[in-house]
Amino acid sequence: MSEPMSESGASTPYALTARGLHKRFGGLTVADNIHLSLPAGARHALIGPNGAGKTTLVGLLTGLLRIDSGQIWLGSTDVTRLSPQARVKHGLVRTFQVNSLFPSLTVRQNVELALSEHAGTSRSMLRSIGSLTHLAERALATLAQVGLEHEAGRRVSELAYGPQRLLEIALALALEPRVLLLDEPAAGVASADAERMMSAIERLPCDIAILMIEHDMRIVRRFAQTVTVLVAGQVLATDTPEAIMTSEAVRRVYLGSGGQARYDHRS
Amino acid sequence: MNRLLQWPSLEAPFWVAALAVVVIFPSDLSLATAIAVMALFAVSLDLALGIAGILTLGHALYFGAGAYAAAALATLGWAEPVSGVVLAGIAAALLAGVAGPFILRSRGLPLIMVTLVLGLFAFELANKASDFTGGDNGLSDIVLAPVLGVFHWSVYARVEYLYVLAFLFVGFQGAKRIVGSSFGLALRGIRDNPVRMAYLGAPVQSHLLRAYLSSALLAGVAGALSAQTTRFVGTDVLSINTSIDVLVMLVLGGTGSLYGALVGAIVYMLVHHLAAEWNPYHWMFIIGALLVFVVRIGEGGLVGIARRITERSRQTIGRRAKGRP
Repeated sequence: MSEPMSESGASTPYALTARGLHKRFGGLTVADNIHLSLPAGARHALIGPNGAGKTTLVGLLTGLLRIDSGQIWLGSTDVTRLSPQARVKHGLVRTFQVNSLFPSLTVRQNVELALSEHAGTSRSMLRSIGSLTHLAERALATLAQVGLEHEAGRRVSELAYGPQRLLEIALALALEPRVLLLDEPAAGVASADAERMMSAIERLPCDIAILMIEHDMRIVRRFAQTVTVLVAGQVLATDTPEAIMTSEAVRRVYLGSGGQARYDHRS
Repeated sequence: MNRLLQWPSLEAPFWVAALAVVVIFPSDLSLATAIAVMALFAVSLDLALGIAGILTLGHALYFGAGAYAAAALATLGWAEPVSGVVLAGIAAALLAGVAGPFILRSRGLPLIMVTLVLGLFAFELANKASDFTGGDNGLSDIVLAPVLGVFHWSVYARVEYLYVLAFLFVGFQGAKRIVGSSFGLALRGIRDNPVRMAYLGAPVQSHLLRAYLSSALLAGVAGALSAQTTRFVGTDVLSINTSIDVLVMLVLGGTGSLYGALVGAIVYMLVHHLAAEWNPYHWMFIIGALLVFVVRIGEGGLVGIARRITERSRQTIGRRAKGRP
């Protein structure tokens, strides 16, 4: 099949293109003909009620789950059959809804892990990590991007929840992604830390295409240029945040008939 | 920051003391040799289990493979000992290269069971293949040339001890080097969270395999040293007891620091030796009590306990110093 082109027909393809994704678990269809395309620098939010298949979609895109049919492109590369690791090498990086870090290592070592995998130095068995000074410097620079540089020497297991959420993002950043999937980055973050989290997200490099799963409509409105509503494995609508908030169809199935945007109850 | 780097000040005195054993305990060098062999074996297990998180209960497989390879080389007329050890280590690593991809597909409890079953299988195979292994009688016709052509093996085991100590030193430095590299950091990352490592783009299986091969190489070297210095290989080198002994040593000393492997092997072997003199049937009680005590007190084994004590006393000293006018 030919390369996916952006709407203008120019030769720059989308950073991420998903075409006709299908996935069934037994009798349950969790992804039904999903189309999604993110241009470079996109700020795209994915919303939908619990069980709509949002995290499943992230699993399909990253290769954790195998799709039954459909195609996934990163830039002009067809990654449909590639392993999760290979997709990371092509610039597709995700964060986790539940913190997934390295608790016995320090904050800086966590980032160094990501940096050394990205740079390919993790294969060298005999060179001391202390001699890779640029690694330590880049780790600190990456931590500074999310405001964690002062926590660099602390063990992750001693770190509060909010800073751990920020470290999730720092790990992703260290891999220099072209497409970043943020799975509820503000989930469970106390309101005092939520602002720190949002401003860290807003400061992410603007050439990264970001797809964010989020329940909190205030965050969605602040972050997203485009919103996709997912219901029962199907794309209900893709539009600007304003159009989504005022859409009658979306209001009916998702936001509730009151028309008042709220965050739903998390399980 | 790095746990390992908190102990270098004690490492040089440790090696000096290990050398001094030759002068201080000239009549106990056979025991000291056996301790050094087990210390290297424990270091190899720490690399796989403590650092990379490969929960194996069958590491005697590689110890035994090294021992039989060294014995086979010697009986075939390859009398030069140093190259014999190296070749035996490579043989063990090759075996790990065959078994590893199969073993490392599982993690946690299934991994423990797979390694256990493979260990039992190898033990039974050695029993059955008595033409090669000597069965219950073992292999005892191991003839070796002097070390480096100069140092003759002695009845007092002095050459034996220094020979093993040299291999322990090199093996330990190599293991330390691996742990201190970014590969070593990746292994600790896999131990903590293999799923996230995959999502950092890490080749998790290949990292694990290389850690397993390095570990098997060291275990094979330890086994070969055991065969050469005792001039005997019995099927017990492959027994499940051997795997358990080295695991107990490592847990006793503390996993994941490499130093714990040294400390654990020394304490275990000394307690074994002394308690067996006191009561040859019930010495395991002492080891058991010690193990319960160490595990109850908290993580990190004897090395962890020592670290916490030094940290606490340092804090107390610091507080006193501040309190002074």
